[in-house]
Amino acid sequence: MWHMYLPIAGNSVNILLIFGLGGFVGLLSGIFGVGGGFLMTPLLIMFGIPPTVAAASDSNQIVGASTSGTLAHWRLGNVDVKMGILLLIGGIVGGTVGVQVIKVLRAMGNADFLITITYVLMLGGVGSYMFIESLQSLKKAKEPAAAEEAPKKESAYARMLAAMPLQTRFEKSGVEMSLLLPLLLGILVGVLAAIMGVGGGFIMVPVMVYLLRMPMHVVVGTSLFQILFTCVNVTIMQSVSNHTVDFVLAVLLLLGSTIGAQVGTQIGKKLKGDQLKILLASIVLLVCVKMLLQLLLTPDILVAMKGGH
Amino acid sequence: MKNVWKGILLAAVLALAGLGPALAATSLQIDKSRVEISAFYNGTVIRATGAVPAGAEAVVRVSGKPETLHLKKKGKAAGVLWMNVGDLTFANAPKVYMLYSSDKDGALFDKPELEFSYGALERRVEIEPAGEDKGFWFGEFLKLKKENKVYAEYPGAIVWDEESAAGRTFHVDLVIPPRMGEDDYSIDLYAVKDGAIVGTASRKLEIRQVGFPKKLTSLAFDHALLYGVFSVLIAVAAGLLMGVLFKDKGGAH
Repeated sequence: MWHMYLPIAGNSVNILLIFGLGGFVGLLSGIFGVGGGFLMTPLLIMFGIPPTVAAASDSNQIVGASTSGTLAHWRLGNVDVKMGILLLIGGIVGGTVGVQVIKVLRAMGNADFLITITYVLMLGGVGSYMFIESLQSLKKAKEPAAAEEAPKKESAYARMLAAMPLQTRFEKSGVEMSLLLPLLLGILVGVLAAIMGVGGGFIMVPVMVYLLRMPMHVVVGTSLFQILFTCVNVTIMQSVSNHTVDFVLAVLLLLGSTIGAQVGTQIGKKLKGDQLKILLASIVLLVCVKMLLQLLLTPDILVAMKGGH
Repeated sequence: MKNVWKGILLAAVLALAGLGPALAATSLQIDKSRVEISAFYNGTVIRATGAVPAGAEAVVRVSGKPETLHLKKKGKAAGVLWMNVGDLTFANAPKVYMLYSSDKDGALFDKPELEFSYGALERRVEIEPAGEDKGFWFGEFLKLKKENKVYAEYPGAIVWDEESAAGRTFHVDLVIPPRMGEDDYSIDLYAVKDGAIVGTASRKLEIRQVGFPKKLTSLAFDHALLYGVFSVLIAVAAGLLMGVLFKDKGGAH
């Protein structure tokens, strides 16, 4: 009664369990502006969904969650469309380049080792930096006396930004910079995401916070806006070339995640930017530790199905 | 009257099929030979009944068609980190392999000379690249299949009903998990006496998708682009709908 058969995955699942899982991951994406694939895909595999179907159906589900989340953030004025579109164009170019890069790397051998190490180190580095940085600003906020800083000397990075051509103003984010910067960073994230085989939310959010210097709340809304289009593309590509999107699974997940994304946005609204950052940093660090453990502990079974994250 | 004719017909078929006294005493029936997968399907159970010669043990095997599987091989990279270090191909391995026995400890499954045993299965399966430690990787393959619940063993699951000088009858409930997808399967009975197979009987089982799952699968494979676009549109519509519902409830101000 409480089970539904998934025709593409070739297994059945408990409706309530998948609904709950969708709700939880939707909540995370509404709060932090990440797709949640890092959590969803391994859990779906654990529930008996083949890895390739889990990853593809998850991107279909993210389309729903990010539509819901983008709409909620839109109403709060948290979506910088101009910035989002530039990042998106960069991301698509980068993704296409990344797929070719990975082919070359694989042909050279030992690529998987280098990629995994790079990813773990990057997660660890970005997570630690975000954690420490937001912890410091939270402390400063508590001690108002210490908050009065001497005016900062302009960093080399800021000078470089000012020197780039095609300067323009991004209203929603309240920043002024060259059009080229989000485009280039979008390409970088796209290449990385394609090589790592992940959605890129974990890389995109810190890039927006630290390199594009956008306010945290606008980062979340704009990231969701961008993820929406990326996942539309992935869903259609996967349907056409691999037939791995399970519509029933995606709909069950959607029912939960679209609600979760709305609730998440409301929770995110009540949190300060630094609180959001420190929570996201903790999740990034947890994922990093989980990956490290996977690398260090002897697996129970020494063969595995292909696909998935 | 109808039943009498059926009985006579069955007796005639059995008499024709029986090649020797030992084989004639081995028989197998299942209560359904077709399973339909509909929208809320969550696996099923098939009741098998049959007979083996007196003093024999019974083994029932449910097996799927052989397939070729490409798996990732895990090993230590740079001496410390567990990663995928290559590919292994397993050819001629049944998609599904489930063993039921009348002996309590399942010792029969491990006798390599018997056709249904894991040892015999290992001989049939081909592992590429050749030269790998076949015994070890076959063991890992079995672990993966058992974890996925498409290979399983149920020692002692076959229950004896009646025993006479002519033979013993039994029944067993065969678990058909939802992972056994649309395909043709074979259910085989082996009568084992003094370490040798003294009789066999076999039935076919077909599992088919019907209704909604069938329509969706054919859409996904025959009209892939339409299916992809449709999936995206439904997802976007669900997201928008939820956004509107929450706004009406006054969730966002």
